[in-house]
Amino acid sequence: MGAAVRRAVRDGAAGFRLPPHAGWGIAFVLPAFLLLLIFRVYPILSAVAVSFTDYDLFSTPSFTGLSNYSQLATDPQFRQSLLASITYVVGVSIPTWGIALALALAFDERVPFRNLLRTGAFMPVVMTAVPVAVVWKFLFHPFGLVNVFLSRFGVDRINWLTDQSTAMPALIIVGIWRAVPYFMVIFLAGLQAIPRDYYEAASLDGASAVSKFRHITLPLLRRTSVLVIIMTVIVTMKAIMNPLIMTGGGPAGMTRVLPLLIYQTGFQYYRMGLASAMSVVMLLLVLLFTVWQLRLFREKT
Amino acid sequence: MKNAGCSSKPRDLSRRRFLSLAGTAAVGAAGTSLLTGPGALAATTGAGSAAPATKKPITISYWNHQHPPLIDFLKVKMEAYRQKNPNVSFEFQFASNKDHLQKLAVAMGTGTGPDMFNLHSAYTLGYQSKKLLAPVPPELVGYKSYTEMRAEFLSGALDGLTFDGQIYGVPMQSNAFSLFINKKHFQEAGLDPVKDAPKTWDDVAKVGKKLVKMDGNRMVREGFDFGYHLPTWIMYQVQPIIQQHGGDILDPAGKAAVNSPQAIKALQMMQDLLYVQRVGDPTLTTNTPANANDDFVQGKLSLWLTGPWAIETLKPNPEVYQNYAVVPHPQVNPAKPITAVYGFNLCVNAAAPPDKQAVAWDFIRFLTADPIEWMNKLAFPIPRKKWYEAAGAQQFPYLKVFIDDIAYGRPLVKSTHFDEILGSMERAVQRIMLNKGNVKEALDLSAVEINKAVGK
Repeated sequence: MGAAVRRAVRDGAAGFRLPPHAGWGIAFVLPAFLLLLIFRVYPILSAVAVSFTDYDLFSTPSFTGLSNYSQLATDPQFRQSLLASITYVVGVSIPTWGIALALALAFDERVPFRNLLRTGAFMPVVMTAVPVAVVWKFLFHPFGLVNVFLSRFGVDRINWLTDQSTAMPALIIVGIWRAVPYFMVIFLAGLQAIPRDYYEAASLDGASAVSKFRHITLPLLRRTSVLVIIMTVIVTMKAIMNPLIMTGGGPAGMTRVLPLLIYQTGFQYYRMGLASAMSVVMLLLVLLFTVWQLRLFREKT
Repeated sequence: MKNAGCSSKPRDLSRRRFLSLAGTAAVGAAGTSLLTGPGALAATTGAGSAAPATKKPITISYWNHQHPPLIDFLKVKMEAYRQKNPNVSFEFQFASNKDHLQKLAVAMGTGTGPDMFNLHSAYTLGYQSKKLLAPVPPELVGYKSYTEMRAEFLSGALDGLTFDGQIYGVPMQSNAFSLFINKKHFQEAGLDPVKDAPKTWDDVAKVGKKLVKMDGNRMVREGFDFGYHLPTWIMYQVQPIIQQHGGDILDPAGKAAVNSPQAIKALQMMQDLLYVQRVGDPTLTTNTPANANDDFVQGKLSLWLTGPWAIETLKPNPEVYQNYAVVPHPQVNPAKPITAVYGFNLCVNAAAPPDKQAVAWDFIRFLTADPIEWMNKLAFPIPRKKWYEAAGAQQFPYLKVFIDDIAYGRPLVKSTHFDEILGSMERAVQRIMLNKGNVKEALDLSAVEINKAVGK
């Protein structure tokens, strides 16, 4: 091996040349890379490490192996929270995809006051999360505006946030309201990237609007759609503000989504090891979904 | 603490008996610990003269739970203290009881807690077990020694704050729940507010039904209802009812007892009050953690369990304020009365710098110097002999009722995992009371959760 390998290494080393001004490039990238390492990668690795310990924030963590993970397997609260999270993710994501796309299609057309309408539709995204949650809490109060409005149609008073069957739907409604404008903008960007020539050619061939949507818009929006699907799942899986403020996870834990349980377990019950194990499970779930989506997308293309 | 309810003449309460029992209000989670707070040395040595001596600018961060009259009172007191000590300023924050506890837990856990705070008695054990509380330097709160301090307070009042011989807070309030009644509603329903006032839960069912006001099929006024707006409030109600039925939250071995036959019977009784006897409709409530008595204050509820401090909150509605009366907490067996007793203590963060600790203790001394003022302005009983013995205190409305109910009180469940137990009980009560769930199933689930929390 000796001589051949040495030659290969030497040749390889000689062949590898940094492009001109690479130093500047690295210098520009380095601060962001370091920030990413410190504030993203390090906390994730720390959480993984803490998940194998018993740690109460005050004393030294003690290694407990997989005990936190085995505890999760039999924990009814974790199961309930996981189910609540999945319900919330599915409940918010699927309608969001449809509504956001529909709005993007509408705003892509030359409608009167288009810019004003676009800005108005985007408002929920720029509003601060806490006051928004508080306002929605009032709106969903038994004597709040939602019930006042529904009573005009003969609907009896609904205890939106204290009834086990309506608390999660109420949170989902707010989640959709907040998520749609953001993803509408992403869809809009995707739509505007589709060359108009395709539509004009299709029109000359006599294609209907539905047919153009099906055979031009949807296929060319595929990349955008995957981005939207993955992002909605990640964003909704991490949602904590609305459940925390509007329901506190109640009634009876029905809206205690995983991030809320993690927060309570870590910072209220001081079980940081268990909370970290929950975070790791959540991370793996989101990661699995993302990989699955990307693979599905690759297969289709 | 041994329950006072075993007395054969429960209502015939002597002063001595009250003095020996009422102090439990501020006790809460009594227990012992070999742990000593890390701030102990600083607070008891160097801090001794810091408060009066230091003239350098100092800012004390102080967090308190929200109770509008108390917040106004504290602001006045802070300003008065600041005028006497111009170098001292306060960063005062308050939040609803639930938010306050949640915020405090996170802040203390991450080393960003305030210099001083008020702490619910049931949380003292948990905080102390994590060495978060600084010990009281007696000389800074106006006493020569712990012995002198103990002598000033009612017997047992400092037990829950005492660990390894050191005291870790100063009581600011002690409470038990009594039954507030709206006399006008009684008269409207053809009832006598004195003669017909409920003594037992059966009476609550009987009288409550008559007090209900309907508009067609819809209830527009509740006869009686429980409070669901705060987990601690839920515990104040559920624990004594379970105990009145002979059960408890934890058994003597520290294992969950919430699914015992007695506890199931207790919660079934609570559920039946609403869904069989129809004395109330929990969907009508507008109570919030910050306005805990709102339903009663608004005249939408005729019978309401709350503490003496609630009197101040009735004032915004003169019609209710002029027509309220207070009777003892309803019992299963009035011959063996049981209530829950709780309180709030002023504590100092063990991680605060010694000079701040010293000023904080000095402010606590200033703040609590006059218990009569607390009673008159806030209706807060402070478990100090000076308060009880004062002539003014004896004129406080329904004082005997309040004192009796405090005296018959048992502290809330003692556990370093109180918060988790509380959360589990809150979920169980929500399942049972708000969603008419199966009582046994809800309590079985709660028992599993509690046993996991306490490691049994």
